[in-house]
Amino acid sequence: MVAVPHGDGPTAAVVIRVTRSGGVAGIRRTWSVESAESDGWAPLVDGCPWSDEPKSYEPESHGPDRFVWFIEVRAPEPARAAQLPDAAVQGPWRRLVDRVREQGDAVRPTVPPIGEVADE
Amino acid sequence: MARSIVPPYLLARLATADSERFPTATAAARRTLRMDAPRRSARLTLSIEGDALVAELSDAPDREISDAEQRETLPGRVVRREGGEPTGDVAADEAYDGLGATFDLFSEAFGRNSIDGAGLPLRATVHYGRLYDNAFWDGERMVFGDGDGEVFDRFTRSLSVIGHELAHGVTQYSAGLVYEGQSGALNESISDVFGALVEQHARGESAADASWLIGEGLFTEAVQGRALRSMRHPGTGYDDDVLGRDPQPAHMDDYITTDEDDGGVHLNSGIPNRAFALTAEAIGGRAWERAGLIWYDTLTGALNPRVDFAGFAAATVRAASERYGEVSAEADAVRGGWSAVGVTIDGGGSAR
Repeated sequence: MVAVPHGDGPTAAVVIRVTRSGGVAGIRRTWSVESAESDGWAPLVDGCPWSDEPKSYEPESHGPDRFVWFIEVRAPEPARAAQLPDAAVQGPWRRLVDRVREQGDAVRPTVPPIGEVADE
Repeated sequence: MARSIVPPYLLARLATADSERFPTATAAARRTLRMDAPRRSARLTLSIEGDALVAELSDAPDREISDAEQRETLPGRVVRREGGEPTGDVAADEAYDGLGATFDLFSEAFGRNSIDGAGLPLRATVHYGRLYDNAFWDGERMVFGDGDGEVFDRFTRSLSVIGHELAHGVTQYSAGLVYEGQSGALNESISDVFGALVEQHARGESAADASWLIGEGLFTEAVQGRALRSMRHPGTGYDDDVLGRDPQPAHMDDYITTDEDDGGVHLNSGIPNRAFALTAEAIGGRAWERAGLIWYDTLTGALNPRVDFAGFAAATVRAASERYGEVSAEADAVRGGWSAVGVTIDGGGSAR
């Protein structure tokens, strides 16, 4: 499981977090945007082909060292999430990701990654 | 002695040359053209012994570098082919040279002719995407981004990264390790192992003198870090305000379970990476000569595509025993390497 983005609860109109993992560097990058103004985010979010199953691919279906993207939206509601291979981040997904990266803040990653634990 | 890469047209010319004047070279060129039709080039070594001209033909790379011109479309425009002059474009020429250095390691140290062992052309695309900070193997070619200029410089700067990408191709054509969980982390580790060996081989470095760093020089000066990761000391590649700290574990006690990164393939690879570095250091000398050969034998032997760390460790011990003997310094070094990172050798007795 991945932690829910930090936010101001129902008062924030926009709470979106984009996490990129993998790549040859294996460096996890996270960008987060929180805003009290909806400012055109709702059509951008609603335009993405969300599904009930957040993870929509198998590891064998994409090659080594490709990025894996995890996109979490807490607001605008409903809350939703998707895990995508790099090749799938096109069209509406790409527009959403690019805007979060441009207008959001880079979040310093934690170790181990959020929500995961080392095996005992 | 002259040494050169021989393009097909020159092979053809040699094959039709004056056979009385250069009988060996002519015959060898004819044999090369006849024996291996798909082969596009070969390496010709000429020497003079007494009054005789001695020619020796061996495997040589067949490289093709393309330029995506900052689009995310492959393969892009071909800018340099085998034997062609440098383009003047740093990324294209680094890719060309890096593919050559990688070919040389596999050919000279392991007797493997290219990625598939059968002379497959080596293809790469540079300048992929805008500010694209990654390099990857797409199943057919190596693809290199220019970096974003803030965190990453261009990805062709690092020979170990070029070797890493090409080694994914070797794994694809041999063990076919599934890119998920422990088998995925082994797939990653094998690319780091051979990426590091490409760099050490090109520099003539011993295991003791090597940095064991992957991706040294890729970070811009703004980043607090030396490299993407350290094989000798996983978890020490970087510690930066924005990127965070290198999360790689160095021991099974710290194994990370995660859904990200295809199950943490770039994270948990630190464990087998350190096992290899420790093995190579214990054996001593040049890492590709014995430790690298043991790992290569393992990769190209009978390996389950979903093998876990313990199963892979057992396979490396078997490979070392077959080549050097069950009671040998090499087999002991392999057992010691896995033991130090907490991997119990599956079915082959406990790691000592």
